[in-house]
Amino acid sequence: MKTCLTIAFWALFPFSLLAQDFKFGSLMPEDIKLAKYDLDSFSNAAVLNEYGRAFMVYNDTKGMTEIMFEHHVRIKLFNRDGYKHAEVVIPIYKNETGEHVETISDLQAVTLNVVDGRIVSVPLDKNQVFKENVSKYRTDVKFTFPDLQEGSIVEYSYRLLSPHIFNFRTWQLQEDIPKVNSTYVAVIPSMYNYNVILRGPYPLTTNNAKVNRGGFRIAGKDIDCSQMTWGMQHIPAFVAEDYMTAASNFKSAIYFELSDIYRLNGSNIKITKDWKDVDRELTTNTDFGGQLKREQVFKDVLPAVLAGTANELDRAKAVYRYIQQHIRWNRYLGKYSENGIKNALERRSGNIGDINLALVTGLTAAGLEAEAVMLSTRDNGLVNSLHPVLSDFNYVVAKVNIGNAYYLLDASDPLLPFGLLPLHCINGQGRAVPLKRPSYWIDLVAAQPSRTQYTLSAELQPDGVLKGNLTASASGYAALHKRRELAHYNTVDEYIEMVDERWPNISITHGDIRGVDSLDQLLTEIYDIEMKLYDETGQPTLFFNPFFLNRVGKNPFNLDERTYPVDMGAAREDRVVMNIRLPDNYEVVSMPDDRNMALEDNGGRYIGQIRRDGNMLSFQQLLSLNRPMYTPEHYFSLKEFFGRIIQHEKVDVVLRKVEAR
Amino acid sequence: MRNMICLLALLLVSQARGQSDYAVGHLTDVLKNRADAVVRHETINVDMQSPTRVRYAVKRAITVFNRAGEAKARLVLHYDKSTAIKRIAGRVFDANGFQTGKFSQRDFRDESAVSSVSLYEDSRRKHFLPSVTSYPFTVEYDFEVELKQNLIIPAWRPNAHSDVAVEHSEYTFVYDPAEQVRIRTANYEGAPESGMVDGRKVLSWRVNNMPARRQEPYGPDPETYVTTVRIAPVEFSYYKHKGRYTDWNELGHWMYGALLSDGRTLPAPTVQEVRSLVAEAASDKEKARILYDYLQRKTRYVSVQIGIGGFKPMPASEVDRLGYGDCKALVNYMQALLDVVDIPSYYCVVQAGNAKRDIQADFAGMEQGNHVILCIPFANDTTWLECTSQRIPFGYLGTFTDDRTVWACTPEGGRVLRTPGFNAEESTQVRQAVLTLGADGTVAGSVKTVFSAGQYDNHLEIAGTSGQEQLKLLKEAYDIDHITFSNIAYDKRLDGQPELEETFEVNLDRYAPENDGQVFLVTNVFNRRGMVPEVKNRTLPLYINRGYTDEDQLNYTLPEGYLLISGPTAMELDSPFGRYETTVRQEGNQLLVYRRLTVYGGTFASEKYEAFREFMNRIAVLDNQKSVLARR
Repeated sequence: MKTCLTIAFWALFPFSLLAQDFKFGSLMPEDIKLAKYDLDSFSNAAVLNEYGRAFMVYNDTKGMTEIMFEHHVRIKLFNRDGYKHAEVVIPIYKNETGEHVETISDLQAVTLNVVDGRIVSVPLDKNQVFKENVSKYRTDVKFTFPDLQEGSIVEYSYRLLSPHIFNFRTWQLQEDIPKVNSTYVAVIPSMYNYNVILRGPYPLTTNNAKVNRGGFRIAGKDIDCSQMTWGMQHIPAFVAEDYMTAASNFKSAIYFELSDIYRLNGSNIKITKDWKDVDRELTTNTDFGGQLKREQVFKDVLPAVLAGTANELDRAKAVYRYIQQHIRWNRYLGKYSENGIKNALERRSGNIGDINLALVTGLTAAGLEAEAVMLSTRDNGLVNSLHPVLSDFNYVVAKVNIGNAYYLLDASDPLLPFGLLPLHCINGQGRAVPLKRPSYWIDLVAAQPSRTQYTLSAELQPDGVLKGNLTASASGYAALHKRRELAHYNTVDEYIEMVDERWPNISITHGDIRGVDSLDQLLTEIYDIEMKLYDETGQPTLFFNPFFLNRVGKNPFNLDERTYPVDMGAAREDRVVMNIRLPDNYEVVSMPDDRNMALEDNGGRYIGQIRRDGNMLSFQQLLSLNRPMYTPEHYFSLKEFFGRIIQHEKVDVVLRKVEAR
Repeated sequence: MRNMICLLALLLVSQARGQSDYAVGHLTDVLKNRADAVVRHETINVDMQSPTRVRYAVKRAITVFNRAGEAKARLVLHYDKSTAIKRIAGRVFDANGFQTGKFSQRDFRDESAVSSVSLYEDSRRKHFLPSVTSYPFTVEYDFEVELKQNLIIPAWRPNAHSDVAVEHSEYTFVYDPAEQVRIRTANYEGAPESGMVDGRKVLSWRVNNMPARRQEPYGPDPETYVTTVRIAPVEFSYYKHKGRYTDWNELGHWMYGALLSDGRTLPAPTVQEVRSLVAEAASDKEKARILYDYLQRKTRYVSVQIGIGGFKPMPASEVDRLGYGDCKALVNYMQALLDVVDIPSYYCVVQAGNAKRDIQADFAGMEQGNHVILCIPFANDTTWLECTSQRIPFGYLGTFTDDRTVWACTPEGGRVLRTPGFNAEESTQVRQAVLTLGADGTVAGSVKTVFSAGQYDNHLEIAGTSGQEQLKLLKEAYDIDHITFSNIAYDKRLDGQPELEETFEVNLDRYAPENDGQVFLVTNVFNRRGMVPEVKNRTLPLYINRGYTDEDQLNYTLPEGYLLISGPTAMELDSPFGRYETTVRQEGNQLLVYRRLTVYGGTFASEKYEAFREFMNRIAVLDNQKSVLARR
């Protein structure tokens, strides 16, 4: 997925025309000619050309180096539905103290319409540029274009001066509308060394570098710069799909990470470090390693927490439960402790860092081997696996090693069972950071599949009413999902009433739920049910459908083409077992044939079986998807797999009344 | 004097109550029953010190029982140029009523309140939710906001939220007896307590022990069951404007004079262009149609809300130059275009949304309505225009603003008018499908559907897209496994009642499975109703927002030798809520399927809900009925 581009300082390419910005407001014949279907079948707008340039300037007044970013975009709006792409939002950031503020300047924008063969340009009214203070860190500059018509071309450019040289602007090559051309030029003084990463499947059409002699002046010295140019042409629109992880994992873009700074005095500051350096930095950081050493915080409570525990696993569970119930997540993410674990325990509130670093520390205090595992959530995208990029990680969980086994723990959700990470954490690999050993990568997987089982034993009465007992049990994410739902009700009875109302043709005459608070056990719902299976219409032949419990019904995979992997986070297994006693004076004419299908490479299985023994009908159904993720190549087998299950579900059992003899 | 004593006594009582704890044990079972949260004690004090200074002070304690109740305990305060937050403080209590924490304005998060549909609004908000690890807990807020206007006084709606019980809530309005105010109460028993304190008039309303109300599907306008007190001072001040009104007519007069009359001048070239556009037009209606088309081509909807609380439209000359505006600006611009050709028109405020909500004819108030449309009062041919859409045909109001009262601002004052609605018989969706069942169970053929009147806009969005995007939306509309579409076309017919015709070829791969020599075919492919949920102990009347008629006719050509051996042959259901009929019959190698459903709009007593549910669920079952075909 990722390609590392070597920055070839020594390779001197001939000066490329592409390295230059296109002229503002001066349209090319092909810009005017380009029509809606030239690029794809659905986009209502397209970027005709886009140019960005970033370079460093030394600010003598402030005594610091800043990045100047120039951006120039030309967009064609094919029709009215494309007008929304004429709303521009430029976020500008400041840091927490409000000192390092980005500034925007030289904003110009114009609408270009072809009227009677002539190009008429309507400039942006400066009063129509709005600044919205979104938060203390961010202000959005917003505007839209005047006098839009179908086929209008809109164009804007601005300069943004940023003091944040660590966050050299990521260049988004791919966006939700197609682009004819996108060019980015970065001019970087030789004293700064960046790692440049191209993400996404498409190749660059331009990729060159040259040396700019003396391009950067600092403290009276001229420093050579490397000028790099990247270009891509005919970039398709990015279309998100269901069951996909963060779009940023797939969108084509160029990312920058500052790796070293060579100072004028010849010294070298290493910014992107080896994991060894990062480990040292983390373990000595007060908000990370510092918290992990505060075992004394637990001194007073531990005896009570650990009372009655027999072995290491029990102790780990007890500490996990304690943290789950004593610190409430304040909805902020973060790998660092925000308030300190002591404070979080006292205030009973904290961010992810507070909660899970407290958990690691508590586990250690209980004499267990525990370590912190940093990770990036599914929404946040995958982390860089080549270099340590700390800012990629936005979350931390705990890992506890017991014997030869280990468990990954997140105490931020009081309903999670021991050892199961929440779905948002299941995202590639995390980095375990033990205090006394080197850090290492660890796979983030759901420790247990999401499982459900429905068991029904019932009697079918001649009038078509089925009466019996239904047990529905769930574990893994399926149980978590139900427990979360239960948390919205004050009593189990209110929950059962909701379930009863939700199943329109099944009525619950009595119900009970077990394992609501025992998070490590199955969640089991037990219901006495009654349902009308068919209408007794007086006809001698009756049809009824046995697939009424946990029916698949609709195909979750209905695309005609698939580009990205199907990522469901966890394996899943759903079973239905039914034993139905048929009325005495009926005989079975036909039943659905058995089905037994498997996805290739043990990717999944479906078994549907129906048997008759006297007047007992037994029915079994199993649907398992054994992988948390399937490649796009597997998509059509998944689609077909579900298609066949749906076909099987359409077949009825046919009964015939036997004339009394 | 007696009143005064009562009031003092009341103040003392409430004071004592405020100090007492919020132990959950004190709550009665009736209040705890099915409640996600209980408003323990709420006092809202609105003190109109002058038209430009209204103190709005609230003390509110809410006990939260579960996760779902938390949202109800969040405090969100909006502020802008005319609303200043004076103070916010609060405390948190545990289940036993012991204080466990407190918070102040510092703990609130501040953010811009620009809604997702707007480019810009000059409004911000602060919000807060305490962090508590176990239920139940109680949060007590104490805050004061100063309003620099008295045109819109926050109404009292103590039981507006479902699943929240109210132990005690009271609303007090204090004002100078020389001021005239109009008051409207709904779903409140009795008269307010009234008295004088320090020469100022004090009115108060209170409710006690209201159990939690569940969210019920097919419920009517909340206005019909939520306790509400609205206050409207006769003399008002608003963003440097002053005015006086007692009814829609007077409010319309002010609105027209203060906010609408001065922004309708167009630049001379546009006036010229408009004149030449309509030069050939035979009638005023024809002229209006041409100008509406001009509006739709030239402008688009962009919302920018600045100043005057978002009530004053951007001048027509600005819209003319920029080519965009919000609903007010675009209606105002259309009026300006019509002015050029001397066609009078009314700026009409409406409460828009799929659920029909009326402007209250007998109680004028500026806070009513959230959208503006245009009315052209042609003699015997009143024409309505939605000015923010480029797709809606001339003279058509979709389900967003149909069939409800609106407030029209005319030079002669305000009037309450009603937008046209569609009845169940004319809002049709008529589908004809000619299909072939293959030997492998594949169903393929062509489908034509015509959407009219109230159903005109069902697939309007799909019609506006193309390629991959259109296929995706079609698959959502026709959610059938392994469905593929080709030769998709849409045709709009706009003379008379607008109609949208959709046609496509469809293929349903192995749709009808075979088992043991029998083929199972759900003949009603495209239009199956879902189930209506059960509601035990329903309290609200049954309300069906809009009536409609769907007709589906599907003709299948069967492979040689197939014989229908089961399935519905003919079924008719009749009820006060609608009518349903379906037939499936075989004629030679043709399987002929017909389905027709009419649902009537209207309001029915709450006990009718069960019968309605039975009717709809019976339809759902019949809609999914399989036909079984035997292969000979």
